[in-house]
Amino acid sequence: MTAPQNLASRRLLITAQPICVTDDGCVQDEKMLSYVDHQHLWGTRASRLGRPGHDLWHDTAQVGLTGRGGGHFSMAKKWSPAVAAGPGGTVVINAAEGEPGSAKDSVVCQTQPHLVLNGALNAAEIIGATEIVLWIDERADRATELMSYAINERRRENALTRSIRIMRAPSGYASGESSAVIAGVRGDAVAPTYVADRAQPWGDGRPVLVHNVESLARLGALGHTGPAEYPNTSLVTVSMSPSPGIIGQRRVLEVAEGDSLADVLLRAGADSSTWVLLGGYAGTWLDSEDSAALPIEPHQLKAHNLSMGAGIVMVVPRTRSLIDEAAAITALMAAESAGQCGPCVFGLPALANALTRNGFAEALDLTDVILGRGGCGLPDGVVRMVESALALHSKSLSRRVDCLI
Amino acid sequence: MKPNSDDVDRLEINMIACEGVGLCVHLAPSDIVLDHWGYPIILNERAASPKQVKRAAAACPHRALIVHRVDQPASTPDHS
Repeated sequence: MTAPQNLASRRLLITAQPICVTDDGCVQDEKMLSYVDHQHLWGTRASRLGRPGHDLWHDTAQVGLTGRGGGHFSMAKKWSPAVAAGPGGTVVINAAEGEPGSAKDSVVCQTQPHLVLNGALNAAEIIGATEIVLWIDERADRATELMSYAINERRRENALTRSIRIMRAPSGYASGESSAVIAGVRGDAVAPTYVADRAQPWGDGRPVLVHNVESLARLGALGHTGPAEYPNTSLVTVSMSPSPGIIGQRRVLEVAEGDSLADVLLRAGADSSTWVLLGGYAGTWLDSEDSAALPIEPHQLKAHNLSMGAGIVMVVPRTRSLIDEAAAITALMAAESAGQCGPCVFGLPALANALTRNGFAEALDLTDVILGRGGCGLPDGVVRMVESALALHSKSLSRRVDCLI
Repeated sequence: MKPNSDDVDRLEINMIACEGVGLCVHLAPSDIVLDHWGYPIILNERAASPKQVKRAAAACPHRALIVHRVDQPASTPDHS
């Protein structure tokens, strides 16, 4: 017996080729899968999820599904405190995608919105949430339009078991941070808030569970396929940087388990010998030659003490100075700060300034002062990015000196 | 040994609430110092002077200094 022909195309991206994204976040030359197309490819959600919700919970733990917004925390573990809090609550589809170098979530929304909706419905059923909120970047007009279209298709078919509401998130890095999302969904100011218990970021009220778009699309896929045929891949945005702190062309690709950094760069048509900022603006600078064999997969990266963050591989030509890059990104992130915490408000501009003046000792002192003192993860992410730039810079300098003597 | 109810298990600053008023540094100088910009840095998570630290927490106008006590173990349910 042969497998159904469409099995090989059951993937997060609708094509094996990298998908190009325009500057305003639109997908070029790719068509969105309508509800009919979706059912043709994946089947109907209820028919596969006929198994009780807890089986999908078990499957989620089994395939090791982690949050793809950058935290890479186990999704199955994230549900426990929400279930313990009793029925009711909200599942948020987090499509704020505040990192300029990331476009994968927008691409999934524009090509397979029904996979995202199914994931959100699955999550809502598992934790007993009564409502779903699509929290989507106010600039992402095309993605919002296509998600709305998909939601309306489902309403007409009576294929939504939960109410869905669309909220436009203010653009910016902090708008996608989960405590800021929870605040925004509740109608409060969109800014990170103090979280007493990380396992229960919604506090004492009804649970508000924030899941990244790709995470939910994966949960949707898993509900259709089960663990055996689940596409255990990772979405990556390879973004080119034409000048420090600027993002140019972005290509989104689906990376198979076992693919290396060199494979990813090759598929995206990037130079094989380049600086790479893995994980985006809060990521780690790498030399693509030294790290050519690095597996681009969340669990394996964790074993290397690295993270792909929200699946970002930013490419910077080797001719550019890592210090200039770090300075530009730090200044950019200082501007993205919600402006609530002293160490971030004063520390990041001071750090950018020190880097601009090549004051390395001062920069390192500042990283020590800032680290671990922000209300959200933003300043820590920037500090780690800066430290990795300084380390790689001095490594490449000492190599050049070795060549001279 | 049974934990003393005066023991402080963990000191934490809610940096979002903190406005850098600085009372805490005056009231608990052995556990808190200020950074370049006037915001508190915790020296010892397990406070050296629990009494001073509690007084500082009570004095903070923004309730930004949080004292976690030994007899309140934080438990995180784990299901996977």
